[in-house]
Amino acid sequence: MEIKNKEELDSVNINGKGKDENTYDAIVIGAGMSGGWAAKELCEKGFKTLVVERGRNVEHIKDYPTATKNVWDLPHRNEIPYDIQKENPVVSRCYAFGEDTEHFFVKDKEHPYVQTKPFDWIRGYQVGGKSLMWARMTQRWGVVDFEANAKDGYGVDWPIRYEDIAPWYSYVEKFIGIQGNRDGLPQIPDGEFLPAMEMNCLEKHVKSVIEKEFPGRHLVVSRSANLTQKHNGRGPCMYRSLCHRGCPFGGYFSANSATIPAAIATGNMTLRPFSVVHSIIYDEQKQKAVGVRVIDANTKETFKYFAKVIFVNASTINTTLLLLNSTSSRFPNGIGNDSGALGKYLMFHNYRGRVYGEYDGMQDEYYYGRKPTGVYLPRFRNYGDDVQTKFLRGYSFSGGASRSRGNVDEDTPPIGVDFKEKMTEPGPWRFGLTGMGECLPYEDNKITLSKDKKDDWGMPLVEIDCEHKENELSMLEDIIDSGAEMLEAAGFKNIYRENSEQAPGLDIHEMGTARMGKDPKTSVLNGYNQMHAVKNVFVTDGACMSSTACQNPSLTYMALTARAVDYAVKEMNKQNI
Amino acid sequence: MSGCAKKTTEDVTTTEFISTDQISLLNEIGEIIIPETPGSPGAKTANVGEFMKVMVRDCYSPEEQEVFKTGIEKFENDCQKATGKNFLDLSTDERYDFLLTLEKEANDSNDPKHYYKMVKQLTVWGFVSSEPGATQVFRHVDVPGRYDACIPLEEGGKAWV
Repeated sequence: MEIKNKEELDSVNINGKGKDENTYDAIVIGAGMSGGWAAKELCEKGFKTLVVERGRNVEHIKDYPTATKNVWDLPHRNEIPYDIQKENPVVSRCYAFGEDTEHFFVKDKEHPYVQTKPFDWIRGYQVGGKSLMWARMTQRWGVVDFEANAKDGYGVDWPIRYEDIAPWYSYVEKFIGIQGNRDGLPQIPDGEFLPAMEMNCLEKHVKSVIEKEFPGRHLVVSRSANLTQKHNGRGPCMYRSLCHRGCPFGGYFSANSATIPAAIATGNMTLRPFSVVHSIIYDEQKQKAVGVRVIDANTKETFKYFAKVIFVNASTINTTLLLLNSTSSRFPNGIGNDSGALGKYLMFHNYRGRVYGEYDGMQDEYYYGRKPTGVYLPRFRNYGDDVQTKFLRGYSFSGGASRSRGNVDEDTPPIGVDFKEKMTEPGPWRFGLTGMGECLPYEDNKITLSKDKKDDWGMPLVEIDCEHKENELSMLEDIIDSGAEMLEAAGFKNIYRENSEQAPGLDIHEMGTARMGKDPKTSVLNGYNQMHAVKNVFVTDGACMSSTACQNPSLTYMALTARAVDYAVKEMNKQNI
Repeated sequence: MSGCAKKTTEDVTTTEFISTDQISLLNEIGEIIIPETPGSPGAKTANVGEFMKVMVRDCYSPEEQEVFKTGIEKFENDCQKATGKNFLDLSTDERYDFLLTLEKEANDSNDPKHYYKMVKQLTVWGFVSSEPGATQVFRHVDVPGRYDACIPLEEGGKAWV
């Protein structure tokens, strides 16, 4: 059955069940990185919580079919067959999409969208969402990041400051388990860390050169959600570096390994997979949201579920899709959209710049095991004494060193015994840095709903209209230049300066479109991720972001989520919601 | 083809991407590129010929498949022309010498899609990612269990795969 409009959907009865049976204290839309946290926190506070997830259930360990396979056990040694790549060019560009992870990624072909301009939208439709395949980097945002919009006037001022979120960073870090050093750098404030994964020899060398030759630049162990010791019954990491398949040791944080099991343990969670949320139901009399309309992904039957409070965690673009689709006479342009900002100010991270080079020394040095993280170089541009004239804001680098496989050179015979000997030796050391540039919020980087194209569930297709603009492109030149100058100073040869020219989206850090702000006239959410106009709807995934900073964003979504649940519960206890 | 019809030998050879004889030939070519050495398996043990069949058939573009398939046929002609014999009738030393001339030709041609380049690259890839290659020739530990960030590389130490 195709859903033609909301009225038709509302006319469908709730499949024989009384309203009471479909009523919960809270509903969480989406069971990924932030939704898992919303579920855990609500359930632990005693709320009967329905978690609706559009994809299938993925149970920790049980549903990681490739987790213990060796590369030779995979039919194509981890290569994606040609036909699948041709049919799915967007997801095929994702670094983590392989034969070992294919089942966790959305295929372009099955879930189309409209690219007004090129945008690589990488998605994971299952319980756990993209928390299964994430890169696990977890630097905190610093004081400057929450002040950035106010300072240069791009975007709206964040309604919160670092001190508002700091205790919530600690709160989520203690549960997640983050390895890292206390580096004392205000750009990435210290948190609650497990012992760090050590830098290898070349990483240490690069660190010492950078910190000596380039005042204000620091190279640190990238804090990450990998467990260096057993933590809350999970882990530790076994140094296989196969995280994105799902870890049978629970060696890294995912919703599947951590928050969802915690929510289940309370007995308060009802999980409903295969549930595409059509829209949020707004009651004009009560002036609040009363529930959600759900389309069963398999049968396409429709259901309504009711609750006192709704958390929207469907991932940035899908969250705003369903908010825009939630129309009523009070909100003809999408629920909570008095400002007109809903769908606008889509942001991403500029990942186009990359430098790497070879290092001649340290031929007698090696490592044991496969480290699932690397190094991080926090922001130094337009920070402290540094003032740039060509661009606003700044960028960070993430990177790492390793030895290549094979030590074949011009003098090696190209075939035979000697070739075999050399190709099995460790080759030269290599080190690379990938920039992560802050992207400014622009009104015309936006998503809208197609007026005529629908998906198989009758949902309007998303149109994504987003691009790098002048500030991002000016910054990109500096990312490549500054990266290369550090490698030169550290004695690298064959330095490659790469501009991938990749489209926005491939960073998988899409943010904004339902931004937080102080003023209901210019923003969708207040300082507690609560809709200005609908007090019992909270949005705590990437859609809420008012700026992007230059840190990987998931840790901040998680902290904002825990903080928002705490606030929501207090408000409910005061009968304000 | 009818699903119920009994397959004849001819059907099998025409429907397979490459023949079993060609897979054997690729294994013999691979074995010259990466030979068995004392206590250390070579490309034939890793069955790189079968690997090439599967990978080229499923993961390469139609154009690349064509280069590969016609390349195998060209290989035997080139071998006949250069040595007067089939590759499999050559001694190990003669095979080595012939592959060296092919290596030179492929490098001189500046054609990134020269079939020999494809076969050599697939040989290395198939060997490194095979169980005998990874576990008996390279350094492979399923579950390392720890990370030592800086350790000396012992004499003759192998690369991690």
